[in-house]
Amino acid sequence: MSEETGTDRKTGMSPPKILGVFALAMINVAAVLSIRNYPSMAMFGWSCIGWYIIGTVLFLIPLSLAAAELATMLSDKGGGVYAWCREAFGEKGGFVAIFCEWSNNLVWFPTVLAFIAATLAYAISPVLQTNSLYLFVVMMIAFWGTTTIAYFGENVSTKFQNVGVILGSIIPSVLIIILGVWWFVSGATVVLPPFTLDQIVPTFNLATLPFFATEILLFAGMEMSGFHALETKNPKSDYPKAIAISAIIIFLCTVLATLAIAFVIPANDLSLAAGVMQALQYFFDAANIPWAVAPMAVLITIGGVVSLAAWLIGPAKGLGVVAVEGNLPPVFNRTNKYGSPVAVLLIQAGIGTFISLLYIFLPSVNQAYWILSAITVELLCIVYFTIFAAVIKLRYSKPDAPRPFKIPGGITGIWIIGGMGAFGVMFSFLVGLMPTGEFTAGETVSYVLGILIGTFLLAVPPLIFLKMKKPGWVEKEGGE
Amino acid sequence: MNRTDEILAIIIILALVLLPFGVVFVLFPGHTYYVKTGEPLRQAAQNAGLEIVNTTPVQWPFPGATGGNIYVLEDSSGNTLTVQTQTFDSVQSRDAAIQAFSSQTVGKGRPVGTILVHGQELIYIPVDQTGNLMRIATELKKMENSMAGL
Repeated sequence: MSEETGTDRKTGMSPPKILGVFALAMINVAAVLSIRNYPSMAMFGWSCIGWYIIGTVLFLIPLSLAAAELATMLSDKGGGVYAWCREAFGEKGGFVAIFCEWSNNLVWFPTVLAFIAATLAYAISPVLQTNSLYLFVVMMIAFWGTTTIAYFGENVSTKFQNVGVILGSIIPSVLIIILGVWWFVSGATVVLPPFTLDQIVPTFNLATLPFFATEILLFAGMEMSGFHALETKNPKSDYPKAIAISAIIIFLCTVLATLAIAFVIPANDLSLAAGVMQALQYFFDAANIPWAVAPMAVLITIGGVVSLAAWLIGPAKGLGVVAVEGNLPPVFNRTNKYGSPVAVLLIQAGIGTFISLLYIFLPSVNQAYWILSAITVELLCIVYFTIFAAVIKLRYSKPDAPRPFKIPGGITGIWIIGGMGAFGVMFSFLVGLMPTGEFTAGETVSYVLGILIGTFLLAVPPLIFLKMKKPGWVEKEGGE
Repeated sequence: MNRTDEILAIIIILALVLLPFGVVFVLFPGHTYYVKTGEPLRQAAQNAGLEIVNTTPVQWPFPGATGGNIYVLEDSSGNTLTVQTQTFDSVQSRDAAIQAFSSQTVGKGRPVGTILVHGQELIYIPVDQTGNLMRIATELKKMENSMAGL
């Protein structure tokens, strides 16, 4: 894409402007709102409120505001996170940020795909959860199906996400909240102790610190709509509204639905090893509607797929822009007639398929999964730190650039908001390196080295490609 | 850029992206499946100096799960830790439960709690706010090594 006009460099045409406030908001909701968080967080009882407040103050609010400022300021430039960070730190900074956003997905895809397959199994026959072949086949159908939707471009993927996020994320969340309210109003036993203010304060010690990194990034994905800047009708006015709407929906659904589950299910019965659906089974049994489990499983499966789609499409679009600008070898610079970065999508799908094979067919590698999820967190911390640093730096390097939405409070305001966000993710990066208790003292060095080496290898390819960069890369004709 | 260079570029990106997975899977291989004897968690807790103050049976609603216990452990400072155990009838069902746990991440991060593997048994510690998890894990690792003949 041309930097200045937002047109496609190869065709000279602007992408169709099809996204409005609602569609943009739903992209963020699809990326962030996840029902599988609710039972996990409900185990903390009242203190889940404290954890959510920490995540909101140190991450959700700063990221929402930073994304709104950057997206409206750079609304004529494609690439989302890439464009924002490139504007502040040049190609190297932008490329590393978008590559980390893309590569962390490769680690995360198998876990969300396994969740989708296991949840769907609950609607068909729970025993299928132990069938590796079933899991792999469903995972591949979801993965390649979503990739196919991405192939057909913004129009198709937007319709899919709009419908999917309502069916798979918002409706199930609202249903859980309504049941929780009904439970409370009907006078049934609430398993949480009576509320007192001190109970919302989370416990902080060396044992709980590693969880802090996960909690901070609970709302990761609020920047996702930024990847769709060039397809947005009125980005300058629509982005702030969309980000505000999505942040409110995500926060309310997450907090209220978590509390609804915590009201009904004793913490000991929230055995996560047995899965989210089993927790919901308990919930629906207690509410005398056990038949609701299977339809709920289907809805949550849809929610998992739209979440996958949001993360699969956004960063791939960003990386596609990197390729079009000539920072990746021409093999990556292939878009189809729908404007989709087809080469990036195919490479992504190939790698994801291979890693999913390892995930399903290797014998129980419990600790390996743990390290891979830590690598995901570390890579995301790099992305978000760069975003927060970018929003601060651009206030100095481009103070007069038009900012239709501006974080209030001038330089002080930007330092408070950007600083809080940067502090949160920096702290998360550090505590993300701390081993959890399952690693013995002797394994700590391997654990930390595994995370650092993994994070480095998944972040460093941009620097190699920029070293290899040739003038011919930018002129390579693509298209199908 | 010719065709060879393009293939080379793809190989570079594949190698760099896939290498971390290889490193991690080599550093932390899977757990051996063997039939447990007695109550490994009880033994590990005692070896770690923790007192078991309560035990109740629990059955996870997961295919292949054959039952286990909820233990309430207490350390010398009076901190309590609740731990669940569950035995599985096959390596497939045990590993499927581990995968299910691993896929229950909060956001894009980690699952809440920790799973320890001891032969056919999974030991689930929902939320450790006491720091005693590492002591139990260390004792279980010793027991696992001796059971697996390592």
